[in-house]
Amino acid sequence: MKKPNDIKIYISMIIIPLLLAIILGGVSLYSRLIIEPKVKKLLASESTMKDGYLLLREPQIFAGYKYWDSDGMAVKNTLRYFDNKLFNGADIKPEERIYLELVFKRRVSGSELGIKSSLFFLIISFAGTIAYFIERKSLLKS
Amino acid sequence: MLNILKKELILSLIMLLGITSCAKKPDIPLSPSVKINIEKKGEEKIFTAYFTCGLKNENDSTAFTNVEGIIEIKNKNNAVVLSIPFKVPAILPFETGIVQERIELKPEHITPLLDLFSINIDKLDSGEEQGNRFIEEQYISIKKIKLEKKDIIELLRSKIANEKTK
Repeated sequence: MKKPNDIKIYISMIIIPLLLAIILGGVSLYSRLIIEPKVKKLLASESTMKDGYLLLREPQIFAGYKYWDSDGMAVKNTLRYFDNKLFNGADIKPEERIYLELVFKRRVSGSELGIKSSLFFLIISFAGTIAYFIERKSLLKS
Repeated sequence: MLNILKKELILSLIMLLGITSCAKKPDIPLSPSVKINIEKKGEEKIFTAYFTCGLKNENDSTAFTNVEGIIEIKNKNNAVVLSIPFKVPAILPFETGIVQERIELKPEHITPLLDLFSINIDKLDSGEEQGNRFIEEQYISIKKIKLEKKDIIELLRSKIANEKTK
C-alpha cells in the first residue's frame, strides 16, 4: 500500500500558526515595547496623566473593554469615572494614579497573554516543522 | 502596492464603518417613574407630571451626545396617555443618562393617565395621595431617539485640547 503524502498538512501546520504568532506577537510586542513605556512615563507626571489615560483608553487587543468578568469590574468603574472627569474638564489628582495603574495592569496582562499565545503558536509551528522533515525523510526512503 | 491592497483597504474601511455604526442605542427607559401633582397657577389648577428614567449607554467606546427623542406611556388599550419629549446633553460609555422632564397637562389629558395609575383625583388634590408611580415596562417605550455617536477617545481628546487652548 502506498504511504499517504501528508506534506501539505504539515506545511499548513507550519504556516498558519506562524502567521498567527507573527500577528499576535507583533501587536503584543508593540504594546509591550512602545505603548506601555510611553504610558508609564505619562502617568508618572501629574501634568501628563490625562494623556496617559487617553492612551490607556484604547484597549489592548487581548484586554478589551467590552466584556467584563468580576475582576474587571473595577477597571470598568475606573473608566466610567475618568471618562466623566475628563469630559467635564476636571483634573486627575496624583492620589488617583493608583486607579490608572489598575487600567494599565489590564493592558499589561493583555499584552502578556498575546505574547504567550504567540509563543504557543510558534511551538505548534515548530512541531509542524519537525513533523514535516520526518515525513519528507520517510517519503524519500519509501 | 496600494493598487494591490485597494480591495482590502476598502473592505477594512467598510468593516470599520460597520463596527462604529453598530453602536447600540438605548432601547428601553430604565426605572421609569412619574409623579403627578396638582399645582396652582393663579386661580387656575394645573396638572404636572414629573417624569424620570435612565437611558443606558452599553457601549465601551462610543459616547452619545445631543440625545433627544420622545418617550411614550401607553395604557392597556395601547393608546398614548403621555408623550414626553426629552433631551440629554451626553451619555458616556457605561453610563446611564438621566431623563428628568416636567410636563404640564390639561384636565382633559390627565384623566387617562390617572386611570392608568389608579390615582384618585380627589385624594391627589387633598394630599392624601402622593401621586408617585413606577411605570411598568409594558406601558412605556422610546418612540423616537436621535443622537450623535462619537468615539470616546476623540471626544476626550478634543475636550483636553480645548482646555489647553483656553
